[in-house]
Amino acid sequence: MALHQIDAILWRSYMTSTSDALWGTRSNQYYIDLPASDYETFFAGRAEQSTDEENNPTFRIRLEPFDGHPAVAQYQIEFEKKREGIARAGSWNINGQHSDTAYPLWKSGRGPSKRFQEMGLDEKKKNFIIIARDVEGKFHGRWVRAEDFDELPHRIKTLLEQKSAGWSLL
Amino acid sequence: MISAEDVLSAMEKHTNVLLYGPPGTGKSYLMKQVQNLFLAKYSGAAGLSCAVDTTAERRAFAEMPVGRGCSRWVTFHQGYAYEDFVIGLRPQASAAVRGGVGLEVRAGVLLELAAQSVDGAGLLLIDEINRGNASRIFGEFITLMEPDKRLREDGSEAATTVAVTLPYLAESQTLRLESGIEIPREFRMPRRLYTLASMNSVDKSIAPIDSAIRRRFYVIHLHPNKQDLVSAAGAAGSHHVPQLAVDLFDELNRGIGLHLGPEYMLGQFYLPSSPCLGEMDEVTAQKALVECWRFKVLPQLLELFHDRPAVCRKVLALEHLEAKRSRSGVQLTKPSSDEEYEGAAEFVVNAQAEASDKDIYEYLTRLASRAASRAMRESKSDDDDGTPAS
Repeated sequence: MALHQIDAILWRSYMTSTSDALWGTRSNQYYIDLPASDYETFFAGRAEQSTDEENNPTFRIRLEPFDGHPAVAQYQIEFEKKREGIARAGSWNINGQHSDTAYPLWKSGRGPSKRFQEMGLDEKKKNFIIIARDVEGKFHGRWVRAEDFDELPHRIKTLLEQKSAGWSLL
Repeated sequence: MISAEDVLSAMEKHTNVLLYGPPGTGKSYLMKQVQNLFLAKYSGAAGLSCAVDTTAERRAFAEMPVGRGCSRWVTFHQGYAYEDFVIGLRPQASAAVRGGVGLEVRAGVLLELAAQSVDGAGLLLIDEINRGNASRIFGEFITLMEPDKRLREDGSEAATTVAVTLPYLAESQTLRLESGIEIPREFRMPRRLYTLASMNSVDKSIAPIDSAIRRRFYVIHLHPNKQDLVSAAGAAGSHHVPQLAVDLFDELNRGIGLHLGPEYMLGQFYLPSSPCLGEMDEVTAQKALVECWRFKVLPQLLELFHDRPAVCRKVLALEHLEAKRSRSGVQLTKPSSDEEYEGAAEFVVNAQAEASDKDIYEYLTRLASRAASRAMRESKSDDDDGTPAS
């Protein structure tokens, strides 16, 4: 066990579009969408910023290596903020999250449990992707299964129950 | 608008943060909010904090005990010294010495807080940092303010960690705090001692802060802006006094900015709060705004323009508005041409006691309407610019 104190989390509960992207159910869904929020603050100045070819600001952060089994190397993840004047202006995407390119801990077979497809929508929505920021400003990605939801620390559980997506200090 | 969360986040990243801005922009208020947030976060009701296990894929989130957070607030002034801040000798009643009074080594606020932060996190708040002689107050500890000269997060020593030999202590002597913590003579700064300082941009009577100290701080500028004014005035409900107050401050800040510079503008904390104007009924709000003008804004304006009466006259539109029988509470005295020839100069004095509430409110309404008119003109001009030529 190697515990690192965390001071903020970013989360997104399960949506059909999430599985469409992560598990390749729809070939044209390559991203996980996030509602508008000031995720720039969550990145705490640790993101590399640029703009994509459509002039949307992008932010790249590195998820720390996962030291369990099987281990996952450091992984770069890109956020894209939809600029003003276009559809979904102000909302965000986590790019490059298709079945073959997604963050390994979120992929089918590792993230959701085997009985995921049998779950009703309410239970499915207790599945979350989470990016935690530790007190040294490093980021850690995880999938929270519905089966493990009640085991979460009270503070995190409360936040996840309040909103389906967003970020917050802890 | 800068929030306490923004400042805490900046502090956790940069360790030392300086809030810099004119009076009334909420520096001290923000510091207090950050202190509350910090203590809530680092003390925790049960002393537990959330953590992620980097080896667990499922059930990776857990609670872990953390050291208690602690915080101290100091205000620098001309009499504040290294002995108060870092370490010094204090008189102590003692039967063992002749005269009954001896000297004992006492830790100052910074050293004490740093020692308490070894197993947790500490926040030092320094209000008015430029009012003291900061380089003398910090002494050799200025080196230890740099994050990379400190211990690592886990308390181990890095290649760049600097040890400072504390004065007044004999070799191998330690300094024992009342809490029982022992501070070694060779002192190393813990990683998680954060500093949040404030500095008033208008304090030109005070020497600017030492550059060595300034460069160790991440500076957050707090500028008066319309959004903060609107928020402080409160939403206009059944009456227009909040909007009038916003227009008034907008007009004043424009004049102040143009003639003195933006660092002299008036912040939103000059406005009445708890309740704010929007939460009052119209008559109460009008009285509150007049009172705010009489006792907070006007004295500050006369101080700012004390050696520039002509600018004061212009910014307050004294001649223009007083010709319309609006009385501002400022009395303008202009010399005759003969007196001017002899070297006399115009002057303004605070005559608010001679103006009635009604007079002043009427004056404020007229002054504020100048901002509203300008906004309309600018809006019209923008529209004109955008109209394609036929």
